[in-house]
Amino acid sequence: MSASTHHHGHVDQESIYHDAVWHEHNSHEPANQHDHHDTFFSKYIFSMDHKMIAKQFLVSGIVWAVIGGLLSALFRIQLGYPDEHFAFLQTLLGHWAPDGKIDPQFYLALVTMHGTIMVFFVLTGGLSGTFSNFLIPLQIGARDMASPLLNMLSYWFFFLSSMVMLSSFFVASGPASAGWTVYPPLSALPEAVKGSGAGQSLWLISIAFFIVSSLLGGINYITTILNLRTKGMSMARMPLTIWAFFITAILGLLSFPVLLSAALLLIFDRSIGTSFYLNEIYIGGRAILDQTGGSSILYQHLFWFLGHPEVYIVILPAMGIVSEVLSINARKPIFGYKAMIGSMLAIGGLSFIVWAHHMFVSGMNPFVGSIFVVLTLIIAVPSAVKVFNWLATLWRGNIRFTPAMLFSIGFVSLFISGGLTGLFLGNSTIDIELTKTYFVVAHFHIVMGVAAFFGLFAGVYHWFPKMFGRHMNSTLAYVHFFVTFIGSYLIFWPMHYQGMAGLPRWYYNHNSYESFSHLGDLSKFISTVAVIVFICQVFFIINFFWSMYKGRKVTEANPWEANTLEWTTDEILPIHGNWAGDIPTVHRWPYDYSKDDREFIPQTEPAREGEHVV
Amino acid sequence: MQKGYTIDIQNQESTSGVDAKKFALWAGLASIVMFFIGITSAFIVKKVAAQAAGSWKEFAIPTWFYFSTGVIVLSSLTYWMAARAFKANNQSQFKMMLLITSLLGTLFLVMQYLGWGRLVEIGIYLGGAQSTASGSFFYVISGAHAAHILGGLAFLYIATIKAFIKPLSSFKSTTIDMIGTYWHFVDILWIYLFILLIY
Repeated sequence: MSASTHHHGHVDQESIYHDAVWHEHNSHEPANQHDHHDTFFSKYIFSMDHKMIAKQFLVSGIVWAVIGGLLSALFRIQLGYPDEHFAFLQTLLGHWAPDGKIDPQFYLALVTMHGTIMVFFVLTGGLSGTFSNFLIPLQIGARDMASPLLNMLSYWFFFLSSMVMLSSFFVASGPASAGWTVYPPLSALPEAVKGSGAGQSLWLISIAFFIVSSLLGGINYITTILNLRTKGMSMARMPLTIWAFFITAILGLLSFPVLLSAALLLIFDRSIGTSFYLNEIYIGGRAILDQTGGSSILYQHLFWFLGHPEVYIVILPAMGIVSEVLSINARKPIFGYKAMIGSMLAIGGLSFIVWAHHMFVSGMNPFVGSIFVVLTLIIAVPSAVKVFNWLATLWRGNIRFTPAMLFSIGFVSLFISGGLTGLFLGNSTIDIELTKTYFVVAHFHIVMGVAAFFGLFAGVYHWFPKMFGRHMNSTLAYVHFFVTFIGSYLIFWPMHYQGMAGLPRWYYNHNSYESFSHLGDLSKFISTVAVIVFICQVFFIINFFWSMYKGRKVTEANPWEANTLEWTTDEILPIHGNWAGDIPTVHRWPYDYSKDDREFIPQTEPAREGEHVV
Repeated sequence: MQKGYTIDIQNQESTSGVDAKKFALWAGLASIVMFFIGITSAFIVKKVAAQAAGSWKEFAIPTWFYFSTGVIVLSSLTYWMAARAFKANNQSQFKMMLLITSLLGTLFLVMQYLGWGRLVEIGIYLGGAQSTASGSFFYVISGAHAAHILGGLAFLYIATIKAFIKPLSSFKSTTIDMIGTYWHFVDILWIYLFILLIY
């Protein structure tokens, strides 16, 4: 007799009493019950509850965002006021800012770490880590992730990765300085830039841990979504948030390992003396390498095979959150639900075959480039479908302007503005002119940087009541929104003009060039607004932490009058396991808003006689 | 919590008909595949370009690697027999086959190590002034594969030890299936990599 026959017999016998989701099969093993006597460590530190892990990711993401934002404020001070000295910079940065002026090498480190932190630690870990963890089990009707243990490990690898990256700020030669893309040979040779010494080693170690974290998380998200949905929750009834997290996780699962292979070869080049990426290199007229024959372009291909899907890993969760929040607060079904899923799948698929549009000036065959142009421009189609659907969802809606709704509408605005310049840059003929200029900086900051942040903010304002059982303060949230929204446009819109005027990225002081000195006032303006917007994030930070303890208590189970399952838990702050009793059964899709004279119909409500449900 | 309910969070029952843990393993294998696709596509691109430029250094693959390939294939076979013995409830054959599989897995690593040593003897280095792309790739690709073997061996050893001290019924069939999936995977992976390297 095998274990499996015993198992099945048991299920048949007991399923009479329990819903299929219950765990009868364990009654022949020691039952692994929820421990009611959580210690501080098991509840807050080494938690296996997906909701607590989500909060860990969120708080870590916020800390990282403050650091990443601060770095950008610092280098914007240098860019806006390149000839002035600020005493506080020396106080803050010590020998990295002698006489209150940022050291050129440290300027590169600031830019590099800003990009690294924002892309990986905030908008991947902080955004996808938070909301995939928090919402997947709650919205599909599961007690937790498929493997709570791997989920916990996912956070702790993230934490380890964070600590290694943070420690690189404190090594004598400074953190990595070769740009967040860490192109060799710059990133491979300490002789090239100081940051390519110990700082770069720590960067690579940190990213390796980050990839492990991301894979553990992604495997769990995909497995959970495909295998643990409650009864009635077909794939075609999943909220768009879940679809977005699902596709995001698939992209991460398939692209992060390729970054790991790129990083591995770079580690060998740096430490063992291989020449995968390195060829004859002269610094100061001296050949500094014994080994030759590598190709730095090889690294670019491997890097961007991750790098491009990565921008969708950042933006897709935001798209999912925004779709959900827009529909709830417009009191209308999401327009084109299936088209939304189809377009996300199309974006996800295309993201793997457009990477070389980051490399139009790498010397590639123009014919190859033109193929990547066509593939890239095709992404405009699913993107436009999404924008159309968001606008159609808002159209004649009974809109509730909650803070989450404002950030979602802001997201749509930013996605349109930033997406349009993607059409310019996707064309190799125009990109060859504009590449490495501020036009590119403006484009990707609007379309994936600020937009993804808006998705993050929308998610936090919307699900805060479910996370902490309290409301955030709306007045502070409105101030936060308007300053951030208007400020973001004021920062990044002028950068398009600077870019078209040819202003290159990464330059330490562009006022010292005759060609760009007339752009100095614009840079000053951008820097001033950037610092103001950064400081105004304090409205969010204070609101977040203050509301956690002192916010207005949530009294009703479903404060936004939404349809999805997370609002059906027995307690406002769900237990570990989410539902104290049976997991609810789903009878309809999540977007029955303003249907048949009902403002909203939760997914758990069975179809009435003769009612057509999706 | 209501009375009479057991909420088992660690072992939620799959509602899709697919075992969630097995599914997760397959998802993990997909990521390993992508890792090796990344590294071997770099190898192929590099080799084609270098051959066109006449700078690709060919070298004779040490015989150890042919032996090790045979050993890893054999170990897949013995694991398959162990799994069959498990299904047939044949404890003695089960633990013997597990033990042989573990030993063959270890032997594979030893042979890889001896193969690398032979490479050094014939002047093929991982890094340094005398290293070449063909040699560096050989070490990195076979080394990355060996790391994945090591992970599989850890589980094989645990299972083997358990098989000798505990009854067969203490094993879950899922566990046996999952170790098998992984072990056959790293076997097939090596065959792919080896063909690529000797071609």
